[in-house]
Amino acid sequence: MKRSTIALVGNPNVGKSTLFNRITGHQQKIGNWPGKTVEIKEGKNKITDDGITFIDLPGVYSIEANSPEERVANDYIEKKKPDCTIQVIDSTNLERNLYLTTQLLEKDLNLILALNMTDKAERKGICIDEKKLSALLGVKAIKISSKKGIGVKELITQCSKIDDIEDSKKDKKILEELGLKAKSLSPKHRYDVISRVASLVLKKPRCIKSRSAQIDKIVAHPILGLPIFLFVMWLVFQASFSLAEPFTALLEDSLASLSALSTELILSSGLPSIFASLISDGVIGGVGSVLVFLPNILLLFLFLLILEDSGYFARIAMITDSLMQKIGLEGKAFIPLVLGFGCNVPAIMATKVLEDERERLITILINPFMSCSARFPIYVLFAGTFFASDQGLVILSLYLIGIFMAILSAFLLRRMLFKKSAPPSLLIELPPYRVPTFCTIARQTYFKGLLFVKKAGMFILSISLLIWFLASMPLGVEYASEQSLIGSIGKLIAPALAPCGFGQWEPTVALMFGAGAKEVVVSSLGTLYGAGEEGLSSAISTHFTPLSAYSFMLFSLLYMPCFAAIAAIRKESGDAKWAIFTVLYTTSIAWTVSTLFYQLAIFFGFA
Amino acid sequence: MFELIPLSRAKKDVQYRVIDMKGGRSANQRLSDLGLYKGALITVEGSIFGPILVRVLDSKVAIGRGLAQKVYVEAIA
Repeated sequence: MKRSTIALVGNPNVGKSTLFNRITGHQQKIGNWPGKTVEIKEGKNKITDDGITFIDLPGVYSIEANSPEERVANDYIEKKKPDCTIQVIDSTNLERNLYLTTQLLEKDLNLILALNMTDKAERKGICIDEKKLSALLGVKAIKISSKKGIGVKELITQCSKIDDIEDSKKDKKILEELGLKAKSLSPKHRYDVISRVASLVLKKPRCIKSRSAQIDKIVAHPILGLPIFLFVMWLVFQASFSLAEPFTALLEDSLASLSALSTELILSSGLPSIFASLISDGVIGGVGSVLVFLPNILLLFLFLLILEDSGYFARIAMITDSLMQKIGLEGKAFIPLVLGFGCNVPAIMATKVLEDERERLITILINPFMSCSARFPIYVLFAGTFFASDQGLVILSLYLIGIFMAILSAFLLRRMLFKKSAPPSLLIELPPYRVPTFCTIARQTYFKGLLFVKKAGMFILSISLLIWFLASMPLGVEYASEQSLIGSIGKLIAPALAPCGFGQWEPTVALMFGAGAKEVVVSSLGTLYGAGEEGLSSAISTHFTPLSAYSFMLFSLLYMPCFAAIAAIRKESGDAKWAIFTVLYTTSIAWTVSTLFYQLAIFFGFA
Repeated sequence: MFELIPLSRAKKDVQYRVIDMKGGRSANQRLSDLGLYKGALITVEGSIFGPILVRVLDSKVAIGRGLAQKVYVEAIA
């Protein structure tokens, strides 16, 4: 076998990932195209086990290099020159899919067309003469069903049979006959060619009954659509948090016992206690605080993939677009922003659905203002202590301020960075509803999780160790006490936070710890005030006033996101500068808003 | 000759031909990728929460009102 790489291209929602998973099974590698954040999946053929590498390129409608995805797909085909390229085609939508084919035919490729979902097409009475199609286009076309595994083996065998030289000669002649040889063809020209081809190979009933249309009558109904949509969103959150709870509890317990066990082992082996602290406070404590969010992250991601795969995602973008346009964003940004209320990490990863690079970046950068669930315990503690009777209202106000800051930031970023005033108008295909393929989704979730742990793990570990070091040095001090390095730094920075109303070293240090994971702010305050969980409420009531408490909540809401989110921003924006920008931008916003609030409140005599 | 109207004003369940697209180069290209090119036959399925729902080839596409105002269509008898 001489062929070594086969690339898969195709429109979104044609079952490309399902085919890729069927061929490669568990051995997959996700990589990024250099300089781009678009993911390329790579895996070895396990069906015939011949050492061929399959490449899953991002789903695109064309390769004329509009979106990052299109650029990557085009660059890959042109620069890496795969030995064979398979275009996966949705047989129920042949003509639109052939638009990409006409572009691929012009490239110097060994192209094979995989007419996917052939079973579904037949059920609908759509009949494609693939032999005639092959003859007309000069490339092999094979009917397959990636979901059922029909024709996949034959497809792979065909790939190895392509004879480059003879075929490419033939190609040119056929292209001329088709009228595809001219340079920079207009879309109309391409579609005219397609409709000529389709008239010869495609037979379809005049009226295709579609289940999707029936579902859309209810789901995209002008009145029913909204409550259904709100119910789905509620379900996603409810399910992801209640399902995550047992796993989170289990993780917390095992981390606690692991920490105790390691301390015991180290102390009994006669090593100095500083090592025990390094392992239990530094490594296990630091990494653990992020790890406990992994069940939530994975579940939110799972639901996101289900929404995408089922076809409902596009409907959400449509339903929310008008509202989002009013606040200067587009409908596709809705889900990534709402997911932020759960956890900013999967939310930032979900920005991939935005095709426009600038919109994607804006949605990434404003995401930290969506108040994630880790910030909730901070609000509960402070609002419960100082505003017990209006707790709900106070917490709601924080969420709304977060949303407001996100909208304001989107506006500012768009004006200052891109000199543009409005997001692009909605344009989205509403794919037919489908039952998601469980295997594909589970696998994708697993790989996303693994990738995140791998990429962010080292970063989070090193930051955790740095914080541990600052809290334990100089040797002999009590962990995170006033005398420790972090205590000294806290004291140094504290005056800067005085205008916000909480210029003592304890809240300052707690906020520094909170950068590791926001929920840590609460437990840190407990440690710093020597209060523990039960006495914490009374401890903060002596150290804060209602005004400074609200100001502290504002600051916690708005200041730099946790390191896991920063790592996600760095990865999804493709540039470390945006991660640094986020840290500086959010923290200055937090300082400004808290200070304004506190000083104005004092000025107007609310103290 | 039928009247040229923006897609945003097109009627439900009527077949139209796209005559002109004034959304700019990049928007036009994105429209073409989805099958909406000058000369394409489309059917409007309605407007839901603002965007216009269009059936084109064998797929369904949602187009924001702003963009739909820049796509000119003509009814087909």
